[in-house]
Amino acid sequence: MTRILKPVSGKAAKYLGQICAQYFRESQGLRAVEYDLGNAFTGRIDLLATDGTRNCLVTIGTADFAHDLFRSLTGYRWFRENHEFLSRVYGRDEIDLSLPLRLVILSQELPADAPGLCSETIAVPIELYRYRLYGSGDDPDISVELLWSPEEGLVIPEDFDALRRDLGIEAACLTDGDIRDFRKALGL
Amino acid sequence: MEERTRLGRGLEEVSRFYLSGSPREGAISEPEPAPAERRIVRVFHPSSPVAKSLFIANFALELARRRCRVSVWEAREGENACVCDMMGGLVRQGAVPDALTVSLYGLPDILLHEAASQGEGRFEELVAKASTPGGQDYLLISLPDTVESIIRGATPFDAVMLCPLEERELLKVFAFIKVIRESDPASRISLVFDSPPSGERAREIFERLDGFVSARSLGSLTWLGVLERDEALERSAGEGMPLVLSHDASAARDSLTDVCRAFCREAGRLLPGED
Repeated sequence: MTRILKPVSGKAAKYLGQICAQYFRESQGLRAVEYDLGNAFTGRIDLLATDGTRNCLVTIGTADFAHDLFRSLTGYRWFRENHEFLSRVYGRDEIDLSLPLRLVILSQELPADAPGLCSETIAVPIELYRYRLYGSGDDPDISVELLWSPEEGLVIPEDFDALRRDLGIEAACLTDGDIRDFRKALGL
Repeated sequence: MEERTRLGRGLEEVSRFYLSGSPREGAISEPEPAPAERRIVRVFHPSSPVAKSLFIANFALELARRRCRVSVWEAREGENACVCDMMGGLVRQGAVPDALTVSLYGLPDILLHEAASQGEGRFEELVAKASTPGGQDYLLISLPDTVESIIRGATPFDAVMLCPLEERELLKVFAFIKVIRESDPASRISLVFDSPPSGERAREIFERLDGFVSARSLGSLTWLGVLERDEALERSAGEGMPLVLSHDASAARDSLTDVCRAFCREAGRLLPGED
């Protein structure tokens, strides 16, 4: 699912965590517990969130995917190594640290084989999202789309605008719903 | 004999005839008006201008064979072969200025007009001829297949859509149908499937598309059949000799004549004994 979030004031990078927390709260039912856990040397988690059945370690990538993945894994290591410390800091009403963990990576560009590679080689369940920034740097819009989850597998987002553009049928004013209905009706 | 004479005199004074013995009330309902005859036909192909030209060349000959006077109005699409090329072996410079002519013994001439070299007045003249009630003139139009060209066009037309059985092409065809019917609900839109895996599959997709179009209040579609492709068709294109003129057995030729016959049946243009 693609969601275009409302623009936020301030520098985009600075507020990405809050913006993404808004997305995960509205779209995935996750509650943000903490921002910016850990540090750049030993491992950092951009957002720690939970829905009561699992805990998500969210990494918001600002570089290439390889770097984002590495940051996510070091954040995971930091979380495990500091489990006792975190147990003292957070009460069970804030987060149940015994719940299963999930890595969540948001990246601006994901290689096509990233979902397959991650799911095959990483034991921890992982979700991959692509996000894009639109508008000005001070007043951005952000779109977030799920590309891979353990439950849904590969989610191929449909770019209907691109399809309409490729076919040269923009002027026919077919909506996304029209195209979905068309496919469904024809069994395509 | 005496009875018959008297009956005959009486009939002259009868203004209404009731053929059924059951009583009728009120005025006799008027018969359903026949659908308006439309002889301006635009041919579409969502992905292959060459296949479209190939079809038009054969279609024009099939119409001429049924004593229709056919003009083709064509805008060349890039470097693709056009109708002139597909009929190259038959084309000559005719009596009509700026038009090429295809003359075959015993058939009305087919006139080929290239849009780029003609004025708007010539097009309107052809439209007027093809719009004359009860006339024999057909105008086949081949323009770049874009939604914009349909929206811009002011001339109502019937459409023949050649359509491969691929999702993207079908979606494009649906976009064309939507735009045509939104601007001209009376237009007749016929579908021909271009080399589908099977006739049954084509028919199944047609039924679904027709149902989808109807459900959207965009009218109904007419099935004309499927076009086969074979070596004879490729050869005919290369030689500039439309395949319907060939006497050799060919699946492509048979499918072309079947489609054209289906069109003529819909248009009431079948020759006596042909159906």
